[in-house]
Amino acid sequence: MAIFDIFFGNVDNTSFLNFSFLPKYAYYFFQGVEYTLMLAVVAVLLAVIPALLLALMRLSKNRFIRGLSGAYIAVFRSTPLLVQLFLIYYGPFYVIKIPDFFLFGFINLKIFIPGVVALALNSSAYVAEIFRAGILAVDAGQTEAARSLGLSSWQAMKLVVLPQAVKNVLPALANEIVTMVKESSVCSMLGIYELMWGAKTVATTTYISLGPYVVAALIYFCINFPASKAIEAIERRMRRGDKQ
Amino acid sequence: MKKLLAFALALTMVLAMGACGQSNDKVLVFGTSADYPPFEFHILDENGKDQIVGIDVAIARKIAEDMGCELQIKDIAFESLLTDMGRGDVDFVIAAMEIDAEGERINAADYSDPYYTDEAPLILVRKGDEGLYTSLEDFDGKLVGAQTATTKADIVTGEMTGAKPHLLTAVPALVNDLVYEKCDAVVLDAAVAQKYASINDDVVILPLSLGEAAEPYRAWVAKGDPKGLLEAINKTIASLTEEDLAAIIEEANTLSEQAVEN
Repeated sequence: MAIFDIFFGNVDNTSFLNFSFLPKYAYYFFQGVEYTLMLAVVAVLLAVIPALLLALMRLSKNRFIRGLSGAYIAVFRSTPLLVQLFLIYYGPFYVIKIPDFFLFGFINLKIFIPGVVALALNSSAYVAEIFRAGILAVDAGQTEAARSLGLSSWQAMKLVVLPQAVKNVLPALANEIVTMVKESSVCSMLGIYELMWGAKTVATTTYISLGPYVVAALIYFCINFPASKAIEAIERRMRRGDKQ
Repeated sequence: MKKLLAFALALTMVLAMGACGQSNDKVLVFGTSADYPPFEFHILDENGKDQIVGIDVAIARKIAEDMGCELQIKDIAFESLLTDMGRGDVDFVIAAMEIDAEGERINAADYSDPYYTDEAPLILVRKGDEGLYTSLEDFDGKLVGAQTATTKADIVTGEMTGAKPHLLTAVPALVNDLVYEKCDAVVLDAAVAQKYASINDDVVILPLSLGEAAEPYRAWVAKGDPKGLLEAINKTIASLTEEDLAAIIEEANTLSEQAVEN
């Protein structure tokens, strides 16, 4: 049984601790990190504007607009990302043909764009809820004060509420990037060269079938754990200005 | 917003590349599933660049060369290959793919003359379990693994009627499942099974025959051969002598062995 080899020092191909592929195949993991970070960051950045729109629609007085945004959020939060990825890749991106073009010489846009758009559409549903909570967390007195000073309701939102909401929202938004770093692993199914795809490819080529996944897990951890800690520290720092 | 719309429209208007041989296009798009050494797999070449190589890739290169085209390789999940070809994303597929007993592939695509015949598929079991299985009936109630949408999966569902199928997309995952006791046996193409048995002390090949020889592997084109490639593909396959094929196999095996070395 392979798992016992860990204790007996005989490292065979199905052992968790066989890392003999590393010096030669580190390339796939470096490339994987580049793709994974690119996917996560671009997806969340793309998600911000639609999410803000969705959140404002969700807070609208018009029932139809509210329902529309609610339906979008419901659909994307209640179906698995993997399913969304496949439907978006083979649906809309069958109609929209993207030429083979390599960004920075290594990112194949033809599969990268559908992947990142699917992640962004999914993320925008979650970010919209983050924004909505952030906006609602701003004291109602702020809007009342702004309105009584003669600002229109849109001006009150834009000039008074949203700037304060940003502060509530930024840490949660950063956390969404951390989530996306993990979730983007589904893009390996499309053949995007991200971390999980790299691990799978090394496992196939070298016949060392578990070690590469252990390395991938360690890399994900080394990206996400410090990032979460940094976000926590920033959050604490920002809270210092709040009144008790 | 207007700019965005214009951009989207521009993207929409960029049409998919036509097949080589038509108009002025000189690119032949070849689809394969590069997780199947020695037939198709990723390696890092001497410059540290990612490359897809293998027996099938060498044959695809020969086909493109004979047609005077540039070959573009697309790495796609095995079960999506014929779908993607049907959608026009790839021009032809070579991926250790044979005619299946159910005929689903024949309904979805057209095929070339055979280019390679493997021995019949083999069954891998954990070392020490060899004695448990002397006939296909012994797999009754056992969990038997195979690759999704392959003829090996058909063997599990069609010939080992008592067995419970355990279908996954990747071969390494199947071997993991066997070693870590998630399934009891795995059906693989002979060449692949032999390779895994030779480098894994935990698994052995069962001396149980699944027929005389496997269905031969063929190249596949979209149903009705809309791009008119079949004739050229068959011509290249016919031109391959036994020595040519042996050299191609030798080279792929060497590359695979080099890839395993550290």
